[in-house]
Amino acid sequence: MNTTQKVLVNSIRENLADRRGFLTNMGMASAGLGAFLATAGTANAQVTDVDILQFALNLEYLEAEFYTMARTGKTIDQMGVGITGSGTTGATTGGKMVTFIEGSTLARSADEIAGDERTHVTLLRGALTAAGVMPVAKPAINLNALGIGFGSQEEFIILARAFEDVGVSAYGGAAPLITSKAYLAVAARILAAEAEHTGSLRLHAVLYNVKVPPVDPADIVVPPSAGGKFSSLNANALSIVRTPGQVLYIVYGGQAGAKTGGFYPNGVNGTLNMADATPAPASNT
Amino acid sequence: MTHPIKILGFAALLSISPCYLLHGQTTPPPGATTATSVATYKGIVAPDSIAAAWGSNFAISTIAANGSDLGTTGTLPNTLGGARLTLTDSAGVVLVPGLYMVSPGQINFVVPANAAQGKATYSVVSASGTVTGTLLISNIAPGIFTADQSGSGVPAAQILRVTTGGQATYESPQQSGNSAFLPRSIDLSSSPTDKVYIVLYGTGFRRRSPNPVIVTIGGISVPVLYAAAQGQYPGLDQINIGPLPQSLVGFGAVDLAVTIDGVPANTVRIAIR
Repeated sequence: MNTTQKVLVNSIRENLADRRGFLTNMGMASAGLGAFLATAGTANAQVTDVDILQFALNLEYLEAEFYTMARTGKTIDQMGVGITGSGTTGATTGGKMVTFIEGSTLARSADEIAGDERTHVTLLRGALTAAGVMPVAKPAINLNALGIGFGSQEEFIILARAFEDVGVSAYGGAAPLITSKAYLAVAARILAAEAEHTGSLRLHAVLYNVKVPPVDPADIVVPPSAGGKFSSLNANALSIVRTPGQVLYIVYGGQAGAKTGGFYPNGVNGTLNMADATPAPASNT
Repeated sequence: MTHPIKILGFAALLSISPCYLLHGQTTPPPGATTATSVATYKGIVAPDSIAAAWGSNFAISTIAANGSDLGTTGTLPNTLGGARLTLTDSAGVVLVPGLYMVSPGQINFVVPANAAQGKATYSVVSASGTVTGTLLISNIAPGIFTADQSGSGVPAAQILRVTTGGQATYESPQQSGNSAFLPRSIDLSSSPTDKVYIVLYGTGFRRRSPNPVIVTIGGISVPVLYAAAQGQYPGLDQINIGPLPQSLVGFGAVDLAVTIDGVPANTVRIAIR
């Protein structure tokens, strides 16, 4: 853990010392935040900050595995990132090193993002451990769930863009559920990091002339896809948000109410593990 | 400055071949094959760019499309020396590229303009059999042709010098004779009022975005006047840069680097005095 990570983890630890519970306060979270109302309306009042961080860790495992495999042909475990913890540890299957034009901005940014995502895994695991909670183990991950992502630079862009936009929306959707300001501060910074990632990937989709399919009705695609926009912002110029269940609907392969499937053949670890009955709607304000 | 500048001997450049002829022999089945850009020798190519399939026993001799084959529309033959190549793009569409040259170990072809991006498979079909390989197609895959066909030496380029009186002359960026593949110094110091331009030839970047093309010589940015299709030969692209700044005087042998839409071309080598 580097110095910055230690500062963040210490910040969280100190904040948690004043807390004896992680019950959410949805009234506080949603008051005056119109952008968050839709999410707050579907939130489970029993969801704790730890649940949310554990859920985020599952997603970070997936992103970290994807980028690391695409750039190195290795798993994050092989790169020295911790993957053990509560729940069931599973293997990562599928995926391979992608052939890039080395030295390109795409390849270089992919390297950076791969490192960022591995660091996010370590950061979240450290935060949970510092709070006296065992982080969830990396669940089984099937990187070949969609059959694309590793065959070419273009496939990489398609999958990476989807992961990042979904990641941004997941952190945005989880924000009003977080009661700890320390956790919220870290989550906000990770959200910003994911947003920088998706900005880079969306621009590369434009430059590489890659059409990206929408992942659900809420998704805002990027040119040259029909109706695409450079930024994944809604009519209010805000990033779209998805509840954990809406995120799981996507990563489980579009299955209503599923607990397994898609990129997580055995499901994610933790309490937030079931997909919503429907995907995120197009009207995402 | 516009792009149609006379190119001396370019067709010969595209007809590069190991040239190990096998006259009078029965050709064995073709061996395994790989495909690359003919400029970068990397396995990612662009639509409307010139690529090469490498292997063995594609043909018994070297046959190149000649000027008349190109025709007034710039089309290339689909069969040369009894060999042809088919390409199935990532959308499953089968395309038949035009061929610049066929030799026992190499086929130079133009990636069809309508080839979908992503992983493609291709088959070299010759009298002795069929062999299949894969290549990756991306929107751009910039490459600069080098005179020694190394992908990293002196560019296959022309130096255009324009005096203050408007007289234009062409120079070569390479030495002559036994040193033909060493850079010949571009003189920026003897007549500092001359405007000196470099015309580079390459492939794989005509589909670039309108964003600026970045060219540096020895790390110094150089104006880019044109970067698009050459207009005469299928798949051939061209970059016109200059005038070269006086700040380059005395640099000696330096790298010339081209970056298009964030994708670097193969770095080539020139000399400046």
